[in-house]
Amino acid sequence: MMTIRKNSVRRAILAACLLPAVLAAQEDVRLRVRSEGFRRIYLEPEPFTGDQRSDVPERLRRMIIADLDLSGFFTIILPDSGSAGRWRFIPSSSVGVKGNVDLAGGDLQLSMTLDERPSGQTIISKEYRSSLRRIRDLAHECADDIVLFLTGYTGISTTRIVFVSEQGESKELSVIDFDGSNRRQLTRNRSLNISPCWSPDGNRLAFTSFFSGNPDLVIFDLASREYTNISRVNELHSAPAWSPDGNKIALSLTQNGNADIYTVRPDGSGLQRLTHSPAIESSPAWSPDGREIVFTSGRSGGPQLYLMDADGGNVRRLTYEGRYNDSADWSPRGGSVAFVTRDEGGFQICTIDVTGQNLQRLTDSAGSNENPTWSPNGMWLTFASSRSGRWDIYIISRDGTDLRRLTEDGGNVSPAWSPAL
Amino acid sequence: MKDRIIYLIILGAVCVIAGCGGSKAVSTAQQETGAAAADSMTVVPEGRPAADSREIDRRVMDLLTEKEAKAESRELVLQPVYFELDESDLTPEARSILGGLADALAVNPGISIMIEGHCDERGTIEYNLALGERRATAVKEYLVNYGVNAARLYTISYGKERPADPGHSEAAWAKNRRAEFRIVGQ
Repeated sequence: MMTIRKNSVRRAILAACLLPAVLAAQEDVRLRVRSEGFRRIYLEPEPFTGDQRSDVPERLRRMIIADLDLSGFFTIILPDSGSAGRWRFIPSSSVGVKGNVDLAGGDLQLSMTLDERPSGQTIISKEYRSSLRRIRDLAHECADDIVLFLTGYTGISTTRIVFVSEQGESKELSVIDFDGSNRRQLTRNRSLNISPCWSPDGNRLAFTSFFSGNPDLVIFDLASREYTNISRVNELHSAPAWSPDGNKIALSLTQNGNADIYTVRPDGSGLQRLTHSPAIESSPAWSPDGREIVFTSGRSGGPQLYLMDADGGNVRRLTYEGRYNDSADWSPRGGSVAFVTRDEGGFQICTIDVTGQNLQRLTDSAGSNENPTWSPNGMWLTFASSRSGRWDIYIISRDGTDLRRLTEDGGNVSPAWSPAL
Repeated sequence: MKDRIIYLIILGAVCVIAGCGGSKAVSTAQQETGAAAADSMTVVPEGRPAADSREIDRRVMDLLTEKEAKAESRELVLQPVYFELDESDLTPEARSILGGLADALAVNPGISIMIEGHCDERGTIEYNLALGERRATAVKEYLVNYGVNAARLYTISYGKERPADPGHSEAAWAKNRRAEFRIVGQ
């Protein structure tokens, strides 16, 4: 049972995106103008009604609010946010979130309604049902629906981040939910497992593992937890990147000591060489349409980013600023690439349009910031940073305005954001 | 590192048994480590290396255990060579060390070695892996040009994954930009 009033949705988006300039002076300090020029949508989640004998309505509401906050699209206005002498911000237009929770019959039922304010017109309403045990999944689904209805972006509430975690002498893969919760270790082979990437369906990981003694390309099935070593030569296999159609993995492979970009099918067959330079070529990443690859090459001296067609043709240089640029990841939205640039203290995260314009630096911290990868909706980047003195996983919004730390225990690097799961 | 610790422990134990004073133990250790002189390399041969370097690498674990058992009789010191930042070119010092190593390999024709390329933390993980491989290969090529049979030389890169010094100073970085050697077969 779902009703959507398209005009209302459109109006809500318009209202949020095109707030008149005269209102700028009244902005909440938390509201930041985003690089693309649109503003966050104001959301007013009301206390959920319904079964008040348990804490379920409030727990569910808090989970949904947390997801909505982490989506990066909204400024959340809570009813009590203006209390204790602070003035309360009342936006000229916003979207109300209402929920009614019913626990009759042992199941959790939520009826969620979005309304446009101040008019009060209902934008959509939708029913959700699950077992109480799966309350978190229900919250994620509801939050992602709200994101999709109001912005057109797929939500990230069900996404995960895989990363490399130091375990004494070895490095193993672990995975967390997008908000840092629900951590579990994936590999236990007491070797070096590094540079993980996801298959586009989210069912498998490709990474470099030394467990056979050589840096090989390994496929890990998340359901069966089985490894398949698809390497056929005793060479360095590094920096894998799965193509968007799932049919190929681009990687850096050495021959006579020199790394070039190759592609290989996920079963290890069909090895194809794409670059033929005497310099180091590494860290390939696919464009979302699979037609192009961005990669790092040392052919001009230090490492710089280059673009090429997926067959290796039409190579052109992308970055000119800085002497060490690497670790590119192509935005799923297509137009830009995230990468790292070296400065005195380490690396900083940058983005640049694929046209070579609009270079933006997203981090400016002590320590180093490395291996950025995009969230599947292109709103966030995850990366590893040593800013606290230890290496941990962080996320930052694509314009650098919102930074969150996902791990706290140190020794965590090389995060890779899953596709929408 | 582990090898060296075991070596020193054994050396210490030998000194205690022999009733040496502490200061003498130190001077003995200095002599022994300083004597990177390759012609002192003596290793008991035990079969040819397999053609597959991965097979060889699997055997490394066995050999390491064996090596620990035989550490008492082992006199070999394989000295690392060091590199400049972002470079895989060999320094004059590295060439001199490798010349000694090549001579040692010439008088120990049964030995094969694994050349491990390493980097400091200032590069990215992935570029460093490629750079480490280049460093190991530069060492291999130098040894081959010096007359060592390429079939006796294997390379592997660990990038910045296995620093010799976990510090974050210039001194630590200088120690981490290196190629190390392991005996993998005889």
